Amino acid sequence: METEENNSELFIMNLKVIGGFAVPLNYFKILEERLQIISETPNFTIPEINNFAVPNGYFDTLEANILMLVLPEEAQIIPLYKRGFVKNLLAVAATLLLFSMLYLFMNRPASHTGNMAGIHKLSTQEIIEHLSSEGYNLELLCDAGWCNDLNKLNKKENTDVENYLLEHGEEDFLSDEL
Amino acid sequence: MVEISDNDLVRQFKDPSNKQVAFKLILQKYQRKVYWQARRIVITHADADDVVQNTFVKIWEKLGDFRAESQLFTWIYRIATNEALAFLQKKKSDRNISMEEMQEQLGEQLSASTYFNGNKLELTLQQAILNLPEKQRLVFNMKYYENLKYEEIEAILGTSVGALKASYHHATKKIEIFVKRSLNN
Repeated sequence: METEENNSELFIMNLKVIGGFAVPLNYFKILEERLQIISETPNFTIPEINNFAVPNGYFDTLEANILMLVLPEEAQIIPLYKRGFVKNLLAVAATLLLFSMLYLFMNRPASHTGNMAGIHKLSTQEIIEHLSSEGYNLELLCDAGWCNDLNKLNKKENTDVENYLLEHGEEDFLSDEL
Repeated sequence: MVEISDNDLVRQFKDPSNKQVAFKLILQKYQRKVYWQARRIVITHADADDVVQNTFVKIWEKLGDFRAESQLFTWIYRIATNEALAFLQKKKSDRNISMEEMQEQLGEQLSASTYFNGNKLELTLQQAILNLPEKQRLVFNMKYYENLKYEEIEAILGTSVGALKASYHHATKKIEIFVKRSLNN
């Protein structure tokens, strides 16, 4: 490795190069004078090159202008319910409630629904007839508020009997009875 | 004229009454070395001039805290090298280009530069150096042009002597191959 390095180094050193990097005339003399300003100026900093310009006094008033814009905003008290995230939470809660209610309604027990439908299909008259045939106490039914319906039923039954007798020539018998 | 040692320069710099004089002496002693170290990294004169200015501003700001754990000249070289590399890095970022593209542009600037008066062979040699990876380029320049010892380069770059020797070896081999190929074409 040492020999290889020496060979390559020798090759480079023996290159017949002329010239190379150059500097402007008196550059180092001027450089020294220029750089001494660093020690002569307290808190010397390199001026930044900036091709963009700003209006005169822009940075003097910038801070005050920004504070004027920002401070009133800071002084405002925003109620909790008006804040964005609270509003969102309320909306989400309301939606969840709505959906859960909808879910409960759609998924109520099917057998219960069927019974209710059956009940709605039965008329009061049919119920009374059923109860009468089963030998239920009529007074009890009357107490339950079904008196009118019972009377109507009885009248209807009487009318049917009368019609039957008329049709079969038993008018006289009927008149005597009355 | 008796040259003041680096230790005395640092001591004088830390004395507020002698600070300006000491800085002027440091400037006289190191401006050329800083310039050439920067120039070989950033290639163009204008960029090297910027790097020299930045380097001496840093020296002015930081020399008061210098604790003499290293030699003054290696400390100054380290600042100059870091400033030059940072300058190149910023230029690369500003132009949004890769390191290879950056090296290519530096090669073009070299051949077009007003302040490069080398012959064709010198231009080829510089282009060969530009093609090296960053660390190899730094080591080669400091060893070949500045004739610095590996121990001094170690103090500047913070790389072990063994690694520096390997870098220099690879650098010379690559340069030889590059130049021979260019001469044959």
